[in-house]
Amino acid sequence: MVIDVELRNVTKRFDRTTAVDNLSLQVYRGEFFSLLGPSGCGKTTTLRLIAGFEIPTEGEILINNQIVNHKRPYERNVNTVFQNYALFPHLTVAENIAFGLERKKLPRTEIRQRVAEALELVQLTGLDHRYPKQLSGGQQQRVALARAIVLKPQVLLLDEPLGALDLKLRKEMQLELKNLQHQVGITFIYVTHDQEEALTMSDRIAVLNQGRLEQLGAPEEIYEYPKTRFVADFIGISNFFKGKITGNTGQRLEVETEDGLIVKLPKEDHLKIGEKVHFSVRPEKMWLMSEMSSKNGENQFPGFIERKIYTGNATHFIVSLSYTQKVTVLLQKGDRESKRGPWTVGDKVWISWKPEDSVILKD
Amino acid sequence: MKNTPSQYPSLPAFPHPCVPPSPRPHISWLDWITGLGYLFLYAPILILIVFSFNNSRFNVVWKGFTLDWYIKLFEDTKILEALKVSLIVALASTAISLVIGTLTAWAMYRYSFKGKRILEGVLYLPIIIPDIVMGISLTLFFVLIKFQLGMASIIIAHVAFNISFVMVVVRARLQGLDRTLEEAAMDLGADEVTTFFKVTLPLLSPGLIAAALLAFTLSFDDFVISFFTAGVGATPLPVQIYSMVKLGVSPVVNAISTLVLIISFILVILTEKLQRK
Ligand SMILES: Nc1ncnc2c1ncn2[C@@H]1O[C@H](COP(=O)(O)OP(=O)(O)OP(=O)(O)O)[C@@H](O)[C@H]1O
Ligand SMILES: [Mg+2]
Repeated sequence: MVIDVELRNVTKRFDRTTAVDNLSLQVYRGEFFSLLGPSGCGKTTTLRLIAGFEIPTEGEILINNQIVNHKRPYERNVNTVFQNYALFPHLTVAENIAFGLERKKLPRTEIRQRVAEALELVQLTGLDHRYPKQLSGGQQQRVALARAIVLKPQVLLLDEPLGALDLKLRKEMQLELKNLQHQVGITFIYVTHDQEEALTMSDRIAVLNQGRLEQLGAPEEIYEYPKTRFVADFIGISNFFKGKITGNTGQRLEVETEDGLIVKLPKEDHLKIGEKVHFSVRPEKMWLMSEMSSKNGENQFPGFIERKIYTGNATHFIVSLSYTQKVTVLLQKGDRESKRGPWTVGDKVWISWKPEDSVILKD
Repeated sequence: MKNTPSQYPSLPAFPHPCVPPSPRPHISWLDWITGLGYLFLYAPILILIVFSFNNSRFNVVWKGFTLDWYIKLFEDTKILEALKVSLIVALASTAISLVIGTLTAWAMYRYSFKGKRILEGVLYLPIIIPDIVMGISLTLFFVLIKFQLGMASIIIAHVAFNISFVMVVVRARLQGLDRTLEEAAMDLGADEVTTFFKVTLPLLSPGLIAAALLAFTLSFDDFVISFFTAGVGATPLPVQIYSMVKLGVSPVVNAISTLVLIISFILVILTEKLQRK
């Protein structure tokens, strides 16, 4: 695969804070690559390093296999869609979109034609003579997109481009952006702190925490097999357990949690008896039963329903297994198990999950 | 045939624009105070204008309408010469201080370097120092380096204080400037110089117009510093008027003041219009 952008051990320090910490990653040509993480984790800084607005303190940034550490932003074949759009208020929509083409000194007729094409691509035909402040937030967003895409850059950098839009418009734009990317075939590096957005749109996701790379992988990989507690916690909901290994029999690893539950996990060769482990289980991987079942032999634990949260298409049950251990169980509408309900707060229930749905975390 | 209104289906009630009851004009104490304030500000100016048309050599009693003083004014070569000097000085010092002040303010805003705070403080100093001190020190300076006092020395002196005012105004405008706009320009392929002329400057233009107007007015108005730095050959209008007043206030002075007033007024209206664009 062709690598468009590569970061090699990049560190960026401001006076006291380390915004990006020894970050290495590769972005392939044509992929939708997301940088995901909580506020202040260094997403914007990473993007600004690639765009050329910041110079790395350490490490190298490569675009097209060439080190660009000290190249100015206008010398790099990447374009940015800014978080606040950064449209030029003194120029019309058409002039905004033409700005980059004019810098390339293209002939007028070509500029006019390409601006018209770009406007059509983002469905803004007819608004070319408006000024940015005469547009709605969604329209401004499209202009920002058109202004960057019209230059046909090798890589498009997008910094939370949908952050300022309301939920409905955001969902629509997510789809549109994804379609647009297919259409133009440009590599997208997309910054977001919205895990759902990252999961639905990306080919690969880099999860950042405090400037460090926590995990890099496809959405399913990140969701199903989080490597660290941070990732398991940040993406979706997870139930966490802490315990000591008490057995490693055959296909199963046996862990005694701090609350005395004996939990079965898939076998892990590199773990020894007596070692401490963390693991997590997704709420939708657990199910509820009124009584103990002989079918689901392993991992059955009694508890009380402490809270029941109805969210339309699903119900969350907070079940306490002991004084300190509480778990969230999610039942989708129409799940087989949920028909056995209806449970209410205070009911005694059994929860269960398959050993292979436990994910051991590095920590 | 009965033709009572009830035979007709009643018309749907159209929502018609609500007409609010016209408020009875009543003058509150606030209006009185506002009126007094305006009177206090503009009465002296009004008197000056009125007496510029007075058919008497003394500014005390109204003796009838005349344009004599204006005719006299345009026959007075000294005043016309002074007006020319003032205009040239104001235009030149405005242009020079606008360029230097804008670039300095921009550099101060864009780049950080050692001793920036101190340098900034020093640049704002001319706003604080009394005119008289500046006037004297500038004269001393010119004399010391044996610079011929004249039009050039006045212009240099005016540039010296105007830079500070331009910087204050441009700085304020820069503070409100979105830094990402300059970054966006560079991202789209504009180098530093192009970015400055295509993005920074247009966004600053309302501030620049305001700064130019302020500088022009300050220069045109200035008496103290001009008085000290003017040479024999070049007398700006305020200094000229002062020397005339020493011999008694002639209505010619009223006439020239009225003209200056009208010019200022037109300038203010012009900028208002420009800035609203
Ligand atoms: N110019 C700067 N000077 C000093 N510190 C900075 C600068 N830019 C960023 N930082 C710091 O670096 C860290 C990472 O900032 P960054 O803007 O990259 O976060 P982010 O992941 O984009 O967050 P958000 O989701 O809130 O936009 C923060 O702690 C921030 O305070
Ligand atoms: Mg950010």
